[in-house]
Amino acid sequence: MRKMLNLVKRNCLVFMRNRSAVFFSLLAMLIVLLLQVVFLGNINEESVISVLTQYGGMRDAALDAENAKQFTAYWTLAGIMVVNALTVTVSVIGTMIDDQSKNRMESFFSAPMKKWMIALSYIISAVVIGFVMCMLTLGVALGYICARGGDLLGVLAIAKIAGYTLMNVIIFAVIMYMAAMFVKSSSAWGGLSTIIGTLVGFVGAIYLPMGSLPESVGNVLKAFPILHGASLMRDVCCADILEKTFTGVPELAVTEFKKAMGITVYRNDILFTANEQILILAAYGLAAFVIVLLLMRKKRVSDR
Amino acid sequence: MSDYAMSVSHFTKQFGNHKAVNDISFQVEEGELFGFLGVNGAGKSTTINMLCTLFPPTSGTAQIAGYTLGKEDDQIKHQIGVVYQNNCLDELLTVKENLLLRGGLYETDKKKLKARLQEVSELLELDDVLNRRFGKLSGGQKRRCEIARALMNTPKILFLDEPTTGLDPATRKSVWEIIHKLQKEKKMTVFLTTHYMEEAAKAKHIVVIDKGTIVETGTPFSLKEKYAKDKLRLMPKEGLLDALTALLDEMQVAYYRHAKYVSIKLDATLEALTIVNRVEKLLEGFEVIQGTMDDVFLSLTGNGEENNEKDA
Repeated sequence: MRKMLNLVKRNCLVFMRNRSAVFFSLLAMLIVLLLQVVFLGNINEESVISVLTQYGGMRDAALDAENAKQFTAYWTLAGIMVVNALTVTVSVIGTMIDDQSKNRMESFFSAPMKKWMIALSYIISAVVIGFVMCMLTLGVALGYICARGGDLLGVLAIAKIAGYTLMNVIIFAVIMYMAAMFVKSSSAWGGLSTIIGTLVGFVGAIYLPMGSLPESVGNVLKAFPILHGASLMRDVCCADILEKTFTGVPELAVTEFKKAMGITVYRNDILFTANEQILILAAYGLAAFVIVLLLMRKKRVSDR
Repeated sequence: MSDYAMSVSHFTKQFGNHKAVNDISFQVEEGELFGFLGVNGAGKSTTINMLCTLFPPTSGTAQIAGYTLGKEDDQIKHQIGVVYQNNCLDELLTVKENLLLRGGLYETDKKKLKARLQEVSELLELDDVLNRRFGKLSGGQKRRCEIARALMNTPKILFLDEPTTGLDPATRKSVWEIIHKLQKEKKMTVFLTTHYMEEAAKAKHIVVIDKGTIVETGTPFSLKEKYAKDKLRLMPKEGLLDALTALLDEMQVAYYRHAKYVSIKLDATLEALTIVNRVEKLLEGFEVIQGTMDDVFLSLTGNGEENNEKDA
């Protein structure tokens, strides 16, 4: 066990020393942030305010604008937490591809370690780094929101965010490890991670909220784990501020709004409960895990 | 059995229909430098990888450091160190980090690990570079670090897979000094693959493999005796080349005619004397060229004969 942790430490060090890899693993997040600052943020704020003016009757416009800003910030944060959980793990798993293509693997295989330990060490390092990076992001984001005069989340909410992040990171790491078993070269992996980094914003309905997407596209996204991960995260991040913003607004309007922003996800008008969403994510992780095991067994047989 | 550090019998490795290694058997003595030769693609790396427990042979058995391959792989792994053809340490980590992390795959006691690092770095004179990043080192320093990595688990047998390929002569020399030192001071068994023949000549025993099978085994001396014939080169005086060949024909000596000289293969070096005595008057000069390990290699791996003639 200590030996495996040693290898985990090595994988983490190798990744963290590679400044450009760290930067590019956060690129998707930076793009999301940039888009929010430039124009998505305004659109989201306006949609909050339009709901309020339509259903809320006479209101304090300045307070609403402030609340809308805060809501958008938390909503974006939720998206980022999911984007990072994916893109950082992709980059860390890239270490393995690099080790393979530069023939470094042999030196691990000739050490007294089982092959599954070596495989697991890559997954664990992806989980560790993914989780730490996400938590750092969370810290910075919460600091920023508070500095702007926003309300801090409760301890329970933060704990829940951490829990969901850990779950996301583990599931994404396993899925990406599975993907990595099919990839042979670093450049192919680089290409794949670029595609993932670009698509994650759409698949998670972060660039465009669910409500702005055509229904058919929305239905496809519901089949992917990322949307559910994002939805879980948004629900926790936005719960407090939503309640505060939408006081006095009819229940139905709020429900519709949550649906449009991808805070809650429905299949044929039936709500996916949080547990169901967790189950979907877990199912994806488990399926990937089983495929990894099968592939490893197949590889072992072909070695004979 | 225990006299041998390693004994391999009837090793075969089949990839699909292709037999990369075909029924090879050999023994490596305790503490010797053992040379494993072959052209690229002869099956050297496949064999080394099987001996290092990377993948099992299709058939055949091996005893390594007293353990049975395939049954006691974990014990074997503790007894061997492997230096690969390519560098496999991490460029962005310092040498010290690299060595401690790699050593940590074998030994979990931090104190022992640190002590071992000290020992290894002294042995390979790495003290100056310990805190530098591996990627910034010169080719020779990198190679020393790779050897240091292989030594971190105090192996009994050291495998070197073409350790000097692509290095400049000075660095190659220093790598060899290290290998000799390990052998002399640490009594380490060294298993070496190479295609530099002059390096192979330093081994105690040699196995030459070609297309997956062993074509010859022996000491460098015995192989040279058998395969590398000495050559006599006769340089005639101006315009006397025809006269010389005529005389050689008369003497019934087989020769090969070049533009300015004639070369003759010798069974024994002393034969040169009788020939030179007979044709002395026609000669400007002569030389006897000793057979080299290159000749052994070329004549064993097939395409040698023709080349031999041209080189002569």
